[in-house]
Amino acid sequence: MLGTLVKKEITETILDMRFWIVTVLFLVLIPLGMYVSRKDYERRLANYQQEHQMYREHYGKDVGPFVEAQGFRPPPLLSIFALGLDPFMPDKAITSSSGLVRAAKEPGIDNPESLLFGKADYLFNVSFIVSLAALIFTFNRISGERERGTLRLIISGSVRRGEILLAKIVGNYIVLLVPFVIALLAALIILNTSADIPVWSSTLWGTLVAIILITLLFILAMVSLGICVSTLTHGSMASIMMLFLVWVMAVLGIPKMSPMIAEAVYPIESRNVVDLAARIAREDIEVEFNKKREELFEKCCTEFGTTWEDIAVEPRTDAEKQAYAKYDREVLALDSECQKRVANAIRKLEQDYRNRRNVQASLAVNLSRISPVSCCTYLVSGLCGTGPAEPDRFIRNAERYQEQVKAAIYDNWVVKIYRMGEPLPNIRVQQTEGFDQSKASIPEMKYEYTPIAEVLRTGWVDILLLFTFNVLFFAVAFWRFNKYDVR
Amino acid sequence: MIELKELTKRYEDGVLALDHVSYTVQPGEIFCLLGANGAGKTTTINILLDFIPPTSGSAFINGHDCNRFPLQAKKYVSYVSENVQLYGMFTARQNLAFFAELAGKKGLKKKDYDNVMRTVGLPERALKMRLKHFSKGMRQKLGIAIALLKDPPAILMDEPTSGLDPTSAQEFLDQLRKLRERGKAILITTHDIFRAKMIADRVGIMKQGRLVAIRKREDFKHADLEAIYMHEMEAAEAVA
Repeated sequence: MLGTLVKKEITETILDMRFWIVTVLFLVLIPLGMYVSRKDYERRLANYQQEHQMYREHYGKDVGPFVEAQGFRPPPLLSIFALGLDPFMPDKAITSSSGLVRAAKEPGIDNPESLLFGKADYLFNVSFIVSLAALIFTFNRISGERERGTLRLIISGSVRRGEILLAKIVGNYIVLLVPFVIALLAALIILNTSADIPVWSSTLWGTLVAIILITLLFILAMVSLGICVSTLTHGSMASIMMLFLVWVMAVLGIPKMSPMIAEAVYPIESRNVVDLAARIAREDIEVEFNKKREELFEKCCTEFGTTWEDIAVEPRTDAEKQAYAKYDREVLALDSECQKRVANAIRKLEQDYRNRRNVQASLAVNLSRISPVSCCTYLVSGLCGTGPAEPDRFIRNAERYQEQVKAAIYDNWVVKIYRMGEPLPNIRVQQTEGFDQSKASIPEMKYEYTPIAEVLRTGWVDILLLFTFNVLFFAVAFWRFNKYDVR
Repeated sequence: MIELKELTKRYEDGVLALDHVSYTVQPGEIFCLLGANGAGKTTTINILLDFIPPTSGSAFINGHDCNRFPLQAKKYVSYVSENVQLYGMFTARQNLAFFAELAGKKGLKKKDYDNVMRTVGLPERALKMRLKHFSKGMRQKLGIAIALLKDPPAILMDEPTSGLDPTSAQEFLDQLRKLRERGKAILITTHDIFRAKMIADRVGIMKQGRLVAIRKREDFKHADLEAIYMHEMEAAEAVA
């Protein structure tokens, strides 16, 4: 019985003009979107490689104590599928001898229109076009049959309503998948023609399969939603109105409004304010400790009968050498305390900001999860390395790079501050033993995007929600259809 | 075969659509329900097909309670509506095959379809035509063809001759006679007193949910059924 009903749904949908319009739309937009995204990725990759290479050639050997090393973030390969946050992510991490790493983003946008209107990548096509197609396929499957009178005829037979409903979901899902899969295969073939993109490699294959499985689950949820909409109305016109309402809310309203609501409900200061506060805190502490260092140096000089204002950068007399030696021993504790206080102050500011940012982000994410489009977007963009977790991931990569540069460069220099004030600052810089500046070079930043296992582990809520949406939409449709007036 | 026992239906808005209606349609009998709009004729069919539940009383098809065991009951009935609407983009054969498979008749051969088309008076070439090109009369005949393929003991027809031209209506009545000869219990709701007189073995006259009279064929075979109908309606009005 179910097979008969599914077969009828498939035949009916294929004979419908909607199927052919959707097929043409899929076959044009999905491969075209993939081609344009591929070109965009190749351009970004070339830019990254060129900038990286030029930097290595010109500044790679600059390993002085105050060097600001630059670590470059390569464009994520799967940003072809979902550009996500990539255009807004920093391109590089810049280290500093003070221990603070900062992010830099090139302001130049080669093609501003593409950002203004959004990129038609795979995720866009799935969340906008495929979701709309799923709803267009299904929005009047029940109400339309009731209107035509065929539903009466089917139900006058010995057929369970649940079977009719299930057949409508299965049949329309299968029919929708046919043009989608063909378009996707065409898109992958287009992708495979690029030398930079190893589509069939084992590393990429797993992520691709995960993206496709999530997409299939999402499409099923949208088909179920369409059938559910169909059971809520008794005529095609009402179904169309409901379709637009549901689509606008699911695809545009909820995902776009949720972050804005979260910002209004739980406002936080901007990243720039936090960075400035951190800089001010660091400078205040450094001023305080520079004064303490000067006092210590003055004390040491007085103890050995010399005048600290007269001492040049290098000690000359025995008294001066003794004063320097004593200062060098005692200043270590001050340096250490200074570093500790700077680190603590910045960590506290950072942590406070991150905590508040996390509350706001959680609020936005959880609100937006009312829509299956958001769940799909979080999962797919996460798998593509362009999701909401990536800014934090960048910070972790940058902090790791700072440590890497510290070990390779900053730790090989000893910088002693004797006096910062007038007439001249008195600062001594020495290399540590065994450090050969001529052989050293700026380390490479090994940028790591979030691995697939971690995305799936942290995204289990979204996977569970996609399953739940499927069950929920079917349950509501089943409940409604069992009471549906077929007359 | 089709049996109603004290069947009552009151809608949510308080309208009493059926008021303790009882009758039986026997195998090989055509029972026509006559009545004005809102008399409760279609409500009867809706309850028999489990489209709506009764408020009280019971309806049975082949001994199965239509409300408690609808799937069992509907195995033994076919339904032909006032305006048979099938899948317009399907061919006649696709429509027949779909509804036959739903009725459990799988693997039908071309000759089975040809036979049923001949039986209802449709040309065999119509099997390949899309339903959207069918006239109303052709669709009604195809509706009967679907009922024939299922071959149930009971058939429900809701205003089946409404909108048919005289020739098509006459052909339709011929089909009904053939079905009666095959022992089907047929319940027809209609406004068409003229054709009811031609085909019915018994008529039931309904007014405002009540079955006010049942007349056998011998009562109206040589009489004016319309006059009987009007008389019964007036009598019911006077009682009310």
